[in-house]
Amino acid sequence: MRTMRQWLCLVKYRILSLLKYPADIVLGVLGTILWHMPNFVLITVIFQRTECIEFSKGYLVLLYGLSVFGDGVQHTFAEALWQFGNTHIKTAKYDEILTKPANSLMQVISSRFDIDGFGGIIWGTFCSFYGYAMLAPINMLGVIEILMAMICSSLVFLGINILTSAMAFLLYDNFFVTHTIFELHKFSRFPKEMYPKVIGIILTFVIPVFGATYYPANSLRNGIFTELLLCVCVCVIFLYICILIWNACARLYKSTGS
Amino acid sequence: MNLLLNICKMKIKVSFRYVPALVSNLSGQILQMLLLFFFWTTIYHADQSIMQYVMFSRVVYGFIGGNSVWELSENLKNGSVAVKLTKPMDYFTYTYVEYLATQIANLFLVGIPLSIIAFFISPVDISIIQLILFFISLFLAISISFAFDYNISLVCIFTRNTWGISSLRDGLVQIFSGAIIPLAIFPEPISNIIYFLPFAYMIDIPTNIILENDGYEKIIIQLIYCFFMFGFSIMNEKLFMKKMQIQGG
Repeated sequence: MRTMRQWLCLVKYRILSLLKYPADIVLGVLGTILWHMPNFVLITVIFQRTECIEFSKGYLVLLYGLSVFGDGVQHTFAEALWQFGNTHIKTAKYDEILTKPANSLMQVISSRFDIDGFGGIIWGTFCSFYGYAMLAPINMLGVIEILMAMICSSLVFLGINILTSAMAFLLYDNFFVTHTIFELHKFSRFPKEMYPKVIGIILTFVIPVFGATYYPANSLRNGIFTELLLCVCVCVIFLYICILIWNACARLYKSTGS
Repeated sequence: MNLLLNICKMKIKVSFRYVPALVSNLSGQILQMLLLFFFWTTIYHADQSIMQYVMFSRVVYGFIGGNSVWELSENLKNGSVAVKLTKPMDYFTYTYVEYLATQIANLFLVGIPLSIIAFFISPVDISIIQLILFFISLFLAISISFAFDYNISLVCIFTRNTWGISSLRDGLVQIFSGAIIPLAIFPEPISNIIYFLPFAYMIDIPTNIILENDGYEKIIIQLIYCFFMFGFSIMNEKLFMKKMQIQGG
């Protein structure tokens, strides 16, 4: 709770400083939306050409929306982890963090709040609801279910980001690992059945991007609330394990001097 | 000319130096290629011609190598443009030569591995003439891409949001160039409009040249577009540079 309060305080000041440049915010948000757009255009154009597709358009848009939302959340709140090795380990700035009486992961995460990622959150939310609306009429329970699926997506992407950034403690740089792993998140924009079984297994158990989109979206499509609840629980446990691994790796930290 | 060659050599050496960046870039391109392969075969049940287009458009995208907006606009933001303006060569030519050199390195490091994968997935018969025309078209595509990036990055004189501008560019290029969606499958009125935009001349035209054997006319259109874009860039540079304010440097 104390960590959360500290984080909120740091983010508040970051937002206030960002609001001094409103044009930059608009440009960043629009840029992010457009950056996520190609796959949406792909789905739209394909469905205009043919209807003979084994997956419904609503289902594909829902998967895409959940993936974009999760990516938007990690982009907004955990962008600092992408360059963690360069900004904190190589420069020994992490030493400074260790001297402060606050959680080190929280301090690293709150060192950067990227409002550009809101483009992903807005566009992902829109696509998730739009996709769901094509599958079933939206009611109160539907809204709760979509929000739960969006939480799953955010937790998984945050977890993956934390896990890959922990590599910086071992390799001094994590950007290339994070970048390559995050290229895989695009695979989660389409159903698991589209890929060979090996890829399905890897993307479920090794780099669990399907946990962010495919499983929650399937539960949503089938309307099984308990399954969705289970997904949320698994995602919370996954995030918790990632934090534990991060803390374990942090113990291996050796300062590079300053 | 000697100066240009030296810049070229330096940039190529730099590109070869950063192996992790190279591996990351290459793996990203390969993963994207695989994703599109699975998408088009499983979801669309695409025929051979579409598969060839999709694979080779990714190869061309790999050759062109992402965007240079980031680097150009960072130069404007952090003030290093001031140093470059003092060089015995105008800024536009200097950055163009740097960009060309990076693309030459990209050709070997990313383009060739991607081409091998594309040939493996969808084999294509290519004649020597086609190959020569392809490289001419590729050079023009790289030049158009640079001119477009240059114009976009000039906006950074007014705004400091490099990510926003760079993402905007990436989104537009991926949607309208044929890098993800073959332009032929867009509804006709839209594809007619797309051919008026510069994006199709970056990816679609070189891809069509390598797959079909009717390159001459397309290269002439590309050349006209290239001249137009360069003229526009130089004109914009004169306009925007007057407004530039460098903080530090």
